[in-house]
Amino acid sequence: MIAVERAPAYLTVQDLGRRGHLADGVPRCGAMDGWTLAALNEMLGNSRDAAGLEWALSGGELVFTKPMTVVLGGADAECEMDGATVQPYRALDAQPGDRLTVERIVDGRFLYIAVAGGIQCERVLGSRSTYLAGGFGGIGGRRLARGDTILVHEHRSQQRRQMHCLPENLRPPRRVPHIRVIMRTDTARESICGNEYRVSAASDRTGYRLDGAVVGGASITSEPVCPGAIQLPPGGLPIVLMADAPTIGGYAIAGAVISADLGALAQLAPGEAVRFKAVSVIEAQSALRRCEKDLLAIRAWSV
Amino acid sequence: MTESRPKLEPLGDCAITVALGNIITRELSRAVLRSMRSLLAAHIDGVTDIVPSYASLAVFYDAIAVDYDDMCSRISAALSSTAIARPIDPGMETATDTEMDTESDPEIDTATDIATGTAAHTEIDTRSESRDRGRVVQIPVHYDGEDLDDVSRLTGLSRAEIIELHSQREYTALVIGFAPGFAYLGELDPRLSLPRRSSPRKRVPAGSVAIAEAQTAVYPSSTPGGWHLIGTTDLVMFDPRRTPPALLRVGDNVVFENAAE
Repeated sequence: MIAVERAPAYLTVQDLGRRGHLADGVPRCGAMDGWTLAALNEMLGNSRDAAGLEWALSGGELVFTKPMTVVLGGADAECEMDGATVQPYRALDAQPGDRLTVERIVDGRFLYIAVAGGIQCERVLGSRSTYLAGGFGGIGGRRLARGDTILVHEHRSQQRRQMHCLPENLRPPRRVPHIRVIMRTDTARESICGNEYRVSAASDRTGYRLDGAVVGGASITSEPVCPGAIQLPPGGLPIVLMADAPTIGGYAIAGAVISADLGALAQLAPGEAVRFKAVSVIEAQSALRRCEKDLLAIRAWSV
Repeated sequence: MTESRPKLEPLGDCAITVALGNIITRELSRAVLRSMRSLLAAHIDGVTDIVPSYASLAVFYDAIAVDYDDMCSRISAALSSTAIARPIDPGMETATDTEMDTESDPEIDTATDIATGTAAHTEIDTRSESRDRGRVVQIPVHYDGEDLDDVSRLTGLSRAEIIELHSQREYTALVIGFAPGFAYLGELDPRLSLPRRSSPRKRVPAGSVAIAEAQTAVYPSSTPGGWHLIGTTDLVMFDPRRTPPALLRVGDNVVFENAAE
């Protein structure tokens, strides 16, 4: 078990989200930077969509009450385990009584903590991810608070080895020169890819608003949308929909961020600059398969 | 009815939008529903979700397993096989649809049209026990909404007339979205049609029955909202632990019953 001794402003249980319920209006949900959580899970020999912790905004402290293997990744954070600095993407064996302290997030937005075996909680609509707006999933459908106890599944360690340290080349890139997008029209491509934007402070798990050039948008007859879709509200700034976005949207859709780069976008903190580069669907899907290949490489090592 | 060829375009790299049009009409809603059923019936490998909207739908797929061009071909094949099957298989399309589709002006005499259509649907539904066609969901309503007086003032109708107009017709679930289980139901009697409230509420309680523009809806969960609240229902519209979680699906027919009667 893991006890929340001091909760950060944001801490939730997340996995890779929900499938099969978009038609009921249930968002995909899941980790904002799914690649990082998936990589950490593969390192530990977990199933890829095992639940982990998504941590943001401020520091906090967890106490382990059972021996377990833990690994951190995603945002750069100042972390200590019993006085020793914790390195990202390096598995740690926590002993009962050990304290994991996150002083602060230094760079990036979401820190992921995966545990061997995965976090144990009820699956709701096929997933353990917390959907805050709907109040379900994770632990009580809410942010974790001081005093909460997090249960962990028994890990079948005899079945799978664990990767002690994830090589640099297999780590999901945190900083990319540009976020790749598939654009629907030339006009949209020119305006989105020809300007520099900054992630607005008004950004959350539902969507990231972008500050920068205003692109002519419009209200439309509502259409299905997806995480990564770039919406253009009338006379407003673009919005990139994220994990908890509604399934249908009434603003013009300029295009979408490719799946391979959505985690990198999610990791940008408010105020950070972002540039977009248009690619074809073919290129986007090749990038997606490369991500998959990296995850399989981690698994091949740890099996 | 002549339908233009659906336009397929990428919605990111893991979904494809199938656009049948870009406005809200009953014809397009029915065409979306037909397309969705064809796609579901085709059991296309790699498809994870099919999301219908007013004039388009999106097919979500596993892009690691199937690439874009391949998925487009599979979608087109599924859509065209049904189009061919339509005239020779009366079971695929009911007489009702044919009758409704041949109407000259869909905007005229909406109430009669919807009422007639639904009655026929229900009859067919009973015979074939098809769960997908013409299911009628009854929603008991306490017409005690906070905005009834405002609606009365803005429409010039009495409370009794508002209740009468709202509960006398059958609606169709056109789209599910905004929040889990939130069904946009059309279409409202034009006499009840009002723009959204100028200042949306930060919190509309779950179970609120509301109207805005040409539509009505029940808030499945407590969310912000700008619709006019005219009543409440005790029915649970969305429960993540229920199967299926949402009470309403796109294509369902909905009747509001005055619980006070």
